[in-house]
Amino acid sequence: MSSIVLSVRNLNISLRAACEQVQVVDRLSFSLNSGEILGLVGESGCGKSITAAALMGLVPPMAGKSVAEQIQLGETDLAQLDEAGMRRIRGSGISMVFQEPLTALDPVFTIGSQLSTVIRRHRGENRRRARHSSIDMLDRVGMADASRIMKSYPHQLSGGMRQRVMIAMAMACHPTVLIADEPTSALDVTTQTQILEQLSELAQSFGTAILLITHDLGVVAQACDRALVMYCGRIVEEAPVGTLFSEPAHPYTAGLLAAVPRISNGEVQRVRAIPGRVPNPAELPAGCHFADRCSRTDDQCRKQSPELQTINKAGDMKDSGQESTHRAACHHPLPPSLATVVSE
Amino acid sequence: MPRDGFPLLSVRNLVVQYRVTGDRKQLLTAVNDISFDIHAGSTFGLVGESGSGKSSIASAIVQLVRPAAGEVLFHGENLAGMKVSGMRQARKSIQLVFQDPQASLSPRRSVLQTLLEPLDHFAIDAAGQRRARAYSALETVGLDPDLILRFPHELSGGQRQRVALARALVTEPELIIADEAVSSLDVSVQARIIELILDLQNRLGIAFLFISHDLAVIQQLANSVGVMYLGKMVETATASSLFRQAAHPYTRSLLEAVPVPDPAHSKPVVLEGELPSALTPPAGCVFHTRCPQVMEQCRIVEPADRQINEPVEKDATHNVRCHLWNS
Repeated sequence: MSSIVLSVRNLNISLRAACEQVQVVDRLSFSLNSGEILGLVGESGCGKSITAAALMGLVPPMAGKSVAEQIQLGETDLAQLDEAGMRRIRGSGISMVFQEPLTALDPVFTIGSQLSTVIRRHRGENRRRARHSSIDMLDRVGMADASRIMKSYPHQLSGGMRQRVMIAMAMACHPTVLIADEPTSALDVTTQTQILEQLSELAQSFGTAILLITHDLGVVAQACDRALVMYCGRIVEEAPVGTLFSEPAHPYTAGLLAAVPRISNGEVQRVRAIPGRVPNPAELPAGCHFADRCSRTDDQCRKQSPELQTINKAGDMKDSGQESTHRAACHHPLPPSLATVVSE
Repeated sequence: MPRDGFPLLSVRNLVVQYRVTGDRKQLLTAVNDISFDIHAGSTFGLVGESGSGKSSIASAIVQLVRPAAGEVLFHGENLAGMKVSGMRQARKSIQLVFQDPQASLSPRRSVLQTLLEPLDHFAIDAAGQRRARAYSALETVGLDPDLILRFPHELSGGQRQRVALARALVTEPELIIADEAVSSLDVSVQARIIELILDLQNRLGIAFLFISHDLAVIQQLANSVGVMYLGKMVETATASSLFRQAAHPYTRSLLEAVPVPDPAHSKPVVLEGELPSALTPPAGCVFHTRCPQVMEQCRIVEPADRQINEPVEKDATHNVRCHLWNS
């Protein structure tokens, strides 16, 4: 069955701000199984995008530092690689799709030129073969008129089409892992559905594992198998999506769920905001970072930082091992019955 | 209730066109014969995909673009034909809040300067009292008065959007046009701005034209809703009627496409294709190229605006432009 393709252990990232180092990601550990879509959810500033940059080896040395005990991708430990080594991995081992395809694509080259460059560079194909492979990739991401698209410039395409091109480019070398950073946030809901479906389809046919970074819990519910919830640089909860949405254990997760507007065909279900605001990463409170905004806070929360621990849920371990682990970093996790009350 | 016998804002057969220069000059019709009313103290939600013409309506209401045809009646007075001086007075009562406060706030002005600008412009209060008014606007939107000397880059996204709201509120407007005002915010911040807007409306009785692509957000705020597709209003109804029984296939697809934060929810049916170009809109019904229930006549005849219910009270009508409702 599923095997681990990417395993990250104790990833720490600090960024240079003014004259100090601010730690923005703190001991992040997770693993990604082949063929699965893992959601990484959190609000802006929680460290999700810098995590993606770190996995790609793209944290600029001038801006910050990323140190990990291990980033195991297949046989290779990315944490030990230098820039030249990372360059060989990017594209073929681990690849990325960004939020805004208009800034990620070069405005002065045609789609065909950009796409075949990637293929020639990584697969060593000649011009003609790369052109065929490009058209084939565009077909696979559902672009009907591939040879016309090849001649187009990015500004001549719609947002959804540009994002399809980005996906084609990222998947062109059949990477083991694809990181998709807010791939649908700039798109309309109808296009979003199409793109998400395209992603899952590709993940299945290529056996690629996807790390889907998003702030939108609706996207997580729609597309992901499992999810990690991040708050202030730490993973506060990890669960299969079914469990995460029906029985959130961390009060932050429950708070996020209550803040999402939901369409109802009867009485309007009012959103409820989480009190307070995300603390400044340079001035994180001691103990649990969520303590100031949480209704279950006591002395322990303010003193001692909670570690991720498995939530004890006897009788709900239908899937075996790894995948069904439900963990939360909370001294007072919500019991399943209460969790639904809070998120209701 | 409508004051002086008119709705607060009444948009009548509005048409907005842009000249497009390319290989040859063309006219792009962004808004095509749109009509709706907004009553004092209520919220009209305008929903549709990007390119459907929502923002053009906002611009046309405040005459940032001149409508090609149609009327924009504010208290029964047509803004479309108004001179610059008259329009300036009307703008005091109609304020705008945009999607990205980073872009709509001047990076070189402090919060205080930003809030004083409209007061100076409209000469509201004596110069010495304007500061006090700025502080009270800040309090209204729930911002710490200590932030008043900060600059936009020193504020979080949510705080910036509150400043943008405060700037809209200082002139005591009767109508605020909010164009995707919560779309770029995180859910928890978005929830707080939604709560704030509801609270403002309760306390101050301000009417909102709330433009969004997100029906879930629209349901939180709107009393009535208009659904736009390629410059046409394809459905208008009270919010309760629309969310109970959406009539137009496009509205249903939109409802379907909103991601539901529940993994047990069935996967949405994908609406095929993309919005056609507004330069060459499809003949017949504008939605026929993507409609799951398309019929022969949809490709030829444009459906008329049809009322599909017996109004229980005045203005509680449910209108749709679709041949499915022709019988």
